[in-house]
Amino acid sequence: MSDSSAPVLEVRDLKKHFSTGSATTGLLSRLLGDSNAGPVKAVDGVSFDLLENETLGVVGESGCGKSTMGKSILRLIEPTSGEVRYDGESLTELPDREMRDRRQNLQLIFQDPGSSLNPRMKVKHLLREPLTNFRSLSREELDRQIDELLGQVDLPTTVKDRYPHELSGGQQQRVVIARAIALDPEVIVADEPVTGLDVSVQSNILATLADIQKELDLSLLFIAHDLAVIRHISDRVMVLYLGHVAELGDSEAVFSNPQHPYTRMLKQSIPRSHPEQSKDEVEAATGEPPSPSNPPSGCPFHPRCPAHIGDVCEEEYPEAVELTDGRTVACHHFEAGDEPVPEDVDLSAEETAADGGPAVDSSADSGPSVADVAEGNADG
Amino acid sequence: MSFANSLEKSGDVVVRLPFVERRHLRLVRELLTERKAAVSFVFLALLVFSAVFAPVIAPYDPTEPNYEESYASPSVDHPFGTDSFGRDILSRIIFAARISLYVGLGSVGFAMLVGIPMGLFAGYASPSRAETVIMRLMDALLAFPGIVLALTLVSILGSSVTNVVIALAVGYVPGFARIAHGATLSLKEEEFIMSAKAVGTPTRTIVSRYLLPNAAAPLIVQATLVFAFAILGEAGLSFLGVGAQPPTPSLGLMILSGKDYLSQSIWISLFPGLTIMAIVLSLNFLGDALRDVLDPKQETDRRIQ
Amino acid sequence: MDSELRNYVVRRTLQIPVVLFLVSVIVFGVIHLPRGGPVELIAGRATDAIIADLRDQYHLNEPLYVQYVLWLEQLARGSLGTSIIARQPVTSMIASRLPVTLFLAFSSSVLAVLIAIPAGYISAVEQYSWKDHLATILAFVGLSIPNFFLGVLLITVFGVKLGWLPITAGSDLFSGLRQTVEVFLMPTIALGTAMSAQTTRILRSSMLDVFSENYVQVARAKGLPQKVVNRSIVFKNALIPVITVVALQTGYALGATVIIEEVFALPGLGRLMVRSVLQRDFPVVQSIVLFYAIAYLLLNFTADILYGVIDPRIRYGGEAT
Repeated sequence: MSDSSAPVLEVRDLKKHFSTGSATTGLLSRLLGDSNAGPVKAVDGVSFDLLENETLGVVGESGCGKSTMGKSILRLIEPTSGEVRYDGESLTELPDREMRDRRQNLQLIFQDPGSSLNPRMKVKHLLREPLTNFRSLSREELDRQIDELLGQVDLPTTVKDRYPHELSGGQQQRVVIARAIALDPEVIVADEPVTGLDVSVQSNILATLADIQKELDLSLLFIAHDLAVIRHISDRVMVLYLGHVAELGDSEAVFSNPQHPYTRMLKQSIPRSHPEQSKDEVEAATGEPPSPSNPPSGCPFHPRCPAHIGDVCEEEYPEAVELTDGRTVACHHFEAGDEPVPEDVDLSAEETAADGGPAVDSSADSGPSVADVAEGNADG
Repeated sequence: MSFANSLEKSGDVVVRLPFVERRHLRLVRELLTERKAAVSFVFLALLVFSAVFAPVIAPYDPTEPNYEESYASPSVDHPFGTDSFGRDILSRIIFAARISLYVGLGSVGFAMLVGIPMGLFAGYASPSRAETVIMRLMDALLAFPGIVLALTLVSILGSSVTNVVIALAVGYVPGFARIAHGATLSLKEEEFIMSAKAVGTPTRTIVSRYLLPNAAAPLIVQATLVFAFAILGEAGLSFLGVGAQPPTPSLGLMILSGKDYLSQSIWISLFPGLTIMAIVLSLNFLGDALRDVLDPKQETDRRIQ
Repeated sequence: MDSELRNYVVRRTLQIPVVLFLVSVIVFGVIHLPRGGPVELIAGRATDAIIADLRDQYHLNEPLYVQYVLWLEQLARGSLGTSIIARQPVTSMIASRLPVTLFLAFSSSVLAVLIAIPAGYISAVEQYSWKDHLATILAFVGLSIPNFFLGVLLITVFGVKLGWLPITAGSDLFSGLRQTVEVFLMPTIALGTAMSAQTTRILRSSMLDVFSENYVQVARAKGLPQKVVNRSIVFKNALIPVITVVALQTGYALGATVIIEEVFALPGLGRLMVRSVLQRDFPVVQSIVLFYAIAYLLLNFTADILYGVIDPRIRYGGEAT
């Protein structure tokens, strides 16, 4: 963390579990040995900081909890546990009325504009809504601001009297963006904002988002599953797997030299010639993601991990540790203070401090670290 | 129409609802194209009119006995004949219809005023203990067959038209609550509701401005159906003798009073009965047409989708 | 049975005691809360001494919750109390009248099904034909006619004018098949007409829905003759929601017997209820209402379970954890 900007959002150990059925039926299911009976652990302990003016990308396969995480941070879905702080103040403990007040600064761009825009409201009403909720403005002033907003998202003012279904997907999404920036927020969580749109439209929307971020000095939490987009737009990136943070660090560093086996797998699954590979193709290459209602024990990735070490991966959850280049990784191959491993080195071939020795004590200088062995250096 | 224009300009248009411009006028127009509905609408309108202006329209006093003319069969003077007291049946029917409409409106209105907010609240607060309590309470109320409940309540409260309204209303509350609850539950997860919350719209506005109109369709259909039940219910209770008391004219009471003279003077019971049928029939046609217009796939009756 | 369905059944079953408890509270509350208690309502016809005596006998001077618990205890013992007017145990009063009411409700349901199946089937299969229109109109009329009015008309035409059927029932209704039919025919028609109409319409619309389902189109595309398709696939599938409706309607029929028994002077539970209500015989009223509620509850529950089996969406409803 060599960055001197202060964190705008601090997320600590955020969890969101959905329970299926009532308490009694859950109990009954577990008694009868139903494997899918447990709560759906969509988000299971996510911690990170969002810094001022940065774009933090969030990637992961579908079902990894990205969208739930985004909504939980803003308390649009109530988190099960954990804390979220905005500008140092805890959001999770705020009473509803004050939370509502803070929403002026914390906005969300939804994934599917068709469903996030009320079909019975015209565009001008949709844009008026945030403004009338928090500001008392005259009708003229309202209209003026609406025109200005439309200009910021490159929409003609003629759309004001249209209903959402009369607009194209791209136009709808621009309305969503306009709604989100209406109150001049500090933080915007963008939940897969271009995923459902035509390829040709995507880059336009992204460009608009980038412009807006610059104009308004926003911090952007950009959730997507398209690695190329994330790489392009983010300062830092966070890789999620089954509700956990696998890797978090500077975007270029992570993409050019991924550390976590999952990140490596993701990167490898993008064929060079088809940068817009579909989700399904990625999954086919890497295997099916497991179900969040029945997560594997220990490290959630161990069933699919090519660098699987041994029992420790199945028994212990790897806590996130910080590497020398500032990124954090949650994997038993790594200890705090390690150097990043070059990309072409096969993790599974290496001995790590976690191998051998029944009582794993990774904090002691018990031997050469992975990086040392890899580089042929053995520090004292 | 902007619909046509937008098809020209934009590339891929997401088509959602078929009625957009001046929605309510369109609705009424669609409603009236169905002939049965149109006739029903007219009939009911006439009924309301005559109910409001009953004292002016009715040719005779409905309660004043006139023994010389009792048991008169239908004639030009008395199109529906007279009853055992010599009172003009037609006039009595006009006033009795007033009572029926009053009971219908009162019980449906009351049930909606109580049931819908309860259902909306329970749905929006879901999952919560309050929701469970409310919905179990509704289940408990629904456990009583309508007539039995109304009968018991009226016997406790006393026999009067107003008490009939209350007794019937209590039985109708759970129906509305359930519909409101169900509609809210499914709508709550819609992204545009979450979006409204994200831009800071207060809960009561979300419920009244977003949830309620979307739930309005099945609620309105339910209202017309329940109105018909209320008419039948009031007639039934009066027939049993626990509703409106003589000399107040009530359609049920009139049928009761004519029950013993059916072979000689069938008109005493016949015309009130036919009146009830006409009202209920109209309401059913209207309700059906409303259901078709508002949403073909309604949640009000159970079918395979 | 898959786990979702099992959870749903369990959940609904667990709700029953809760709802039953609430029902008992409501019944008790409605009867005992107003104006100092039920016996006051008899006041006009009894001396003060008798009233005081009654209050003692029925524990009406105790605080309400004590009365409620006493009532529950009594129910647990299997006793429904004693009628004030008839001075008989309520249980035997109900037991002697129950067969009439059950038979009436049951036969009305059967009638409804017997009429609805052919009518609904033909209506749907020959949609928009004259048969369909006729059936639809008849259904609408059937729905709109007040059942007691129909009963009164039936009595006039078949009982008085034509003399084919008895106007009043004798004392022993089930002594012979012919007598039973004669006594119950008109009441069944009176009660069952609306039910037939409703069930017909449901079957019709259900079949129409199934017609438009994909798998039916597939069957027809494969060349199966229309009649075979109709009978085997469509009808069977369309029947399922109808079963649910029939369960519900039997519950409705139970309640509606109250009026019909009055019209036809049948010695059933409904008639007893009306009389007891008018006479303020609260132990009887209380017990009958409780009985109706439980029966209705069980029927509704059955319908809900059936519906849950058919329509998976219902099972995923959220509940408080």
